[in-house]
Amino acid sequence: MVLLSEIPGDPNGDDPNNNPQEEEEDNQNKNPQEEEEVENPQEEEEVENPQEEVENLPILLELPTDLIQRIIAHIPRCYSPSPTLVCRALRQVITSDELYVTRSLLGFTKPILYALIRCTPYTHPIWFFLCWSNIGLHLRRIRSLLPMFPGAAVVTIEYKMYTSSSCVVGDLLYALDLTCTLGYPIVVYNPNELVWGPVLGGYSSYLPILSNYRSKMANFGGKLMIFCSYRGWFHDIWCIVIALETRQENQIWGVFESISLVFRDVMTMPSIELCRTVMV
Amino acid sequence: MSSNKIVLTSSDGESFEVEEVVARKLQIVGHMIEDDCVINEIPLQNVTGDILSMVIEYCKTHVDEEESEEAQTKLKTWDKEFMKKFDLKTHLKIILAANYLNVKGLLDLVSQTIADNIKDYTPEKIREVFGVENDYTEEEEAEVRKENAWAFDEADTPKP
Repeated sequence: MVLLSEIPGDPNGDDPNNNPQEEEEDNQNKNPQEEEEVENPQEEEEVENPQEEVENLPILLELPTDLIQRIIAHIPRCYSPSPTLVCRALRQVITSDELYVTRSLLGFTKPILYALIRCTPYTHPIWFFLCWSNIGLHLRRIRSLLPMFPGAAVVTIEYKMYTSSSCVVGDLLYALDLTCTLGYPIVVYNPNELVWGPVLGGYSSYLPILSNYRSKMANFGGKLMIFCSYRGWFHDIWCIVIALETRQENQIWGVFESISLVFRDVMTMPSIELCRTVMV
Repeated sequence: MSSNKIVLTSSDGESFEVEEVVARKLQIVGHMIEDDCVINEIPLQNVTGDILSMVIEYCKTHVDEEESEEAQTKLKTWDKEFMKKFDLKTHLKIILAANYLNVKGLLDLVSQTIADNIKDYTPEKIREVFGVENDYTEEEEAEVRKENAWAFDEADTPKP
């Protein structure tokens, strides 16, 4: 646990487990001098009665959740793995959206720079983040994130980063999923409800034969524009326009509008690297 | 500044006579004064005398918060020393009291103090110190370690 062990010890020298026997409810009227004398941070003798020690432990989880959240919000994000491993309740607090809100309100959020690095032309790029430790500034690999598809898009919304070929329309995030995991080739993510759902509709008959690696989607005036190449026809770039409708029970439907051959170069195999809409 | 005195009474019947300007640092009291709900004695049901005395000590010190850098540095040093006087169990009581009495500065200070303890401890030490039980199954714990491998994996650290 490099990062954590590199951090210097508690500047307060305050070890709360020092003298549990002196921590009875009624002992807090002591004057500070007395208390300082009794508290002997690191070298306090072992407690004789372990049973009593357990009873006198400060119980963090008895605090109201908003206070636990407030405490955790004061811990820099790079230190969060250790408390995350303590118990389910702390993990829930640390991974909650509310913690981000609390950290924002307290002004404790800070930017983290992520970098996607491809080591060879034949391997998938891997995520790293820039961090500072006692060995200086360096990139550290994030093994828990899956490798990215080459050319895949990344969208950041607040503290979350969405990766895949995706675009944002309104408050929703759309992505191509040509494996049709949810039954349709376009899926939609609601960041507020934290759920993915399919974009329903007959448009899907135009998409399954697309190449996953050679397809990009963009928001074009509220419609989805998909630039793509069909498998086996890599000299061409096509543009598919799909309108979006919200129907009953907030279901999102895609309505196919058009398909056009927008680019051809028989000497090469062009592919869309990036497409973005700019308002002018 | 008004020299009105206000008596704050804790849940266990201990009374503290303080200047109004100090009492106002407890926003719960400040609001009562502004709403004309107060004459000169305020019962505070959710805080015991020992903890209330600590809160009052903090508020007295912070009653005249000067802008100058020197004064701010001095206050920060005082804050640090003030927190050092108490053990973690008392810190947890102070955070509850600061939240109830709505003393923002103290709430931030004690939150930071507790957070500083947590951030430097291993998960085992946090459980030991804060009386928390590990309720993960082995599989869950392995999963959480995997998710946070960037922090636990020394192999990634480049050589200087």
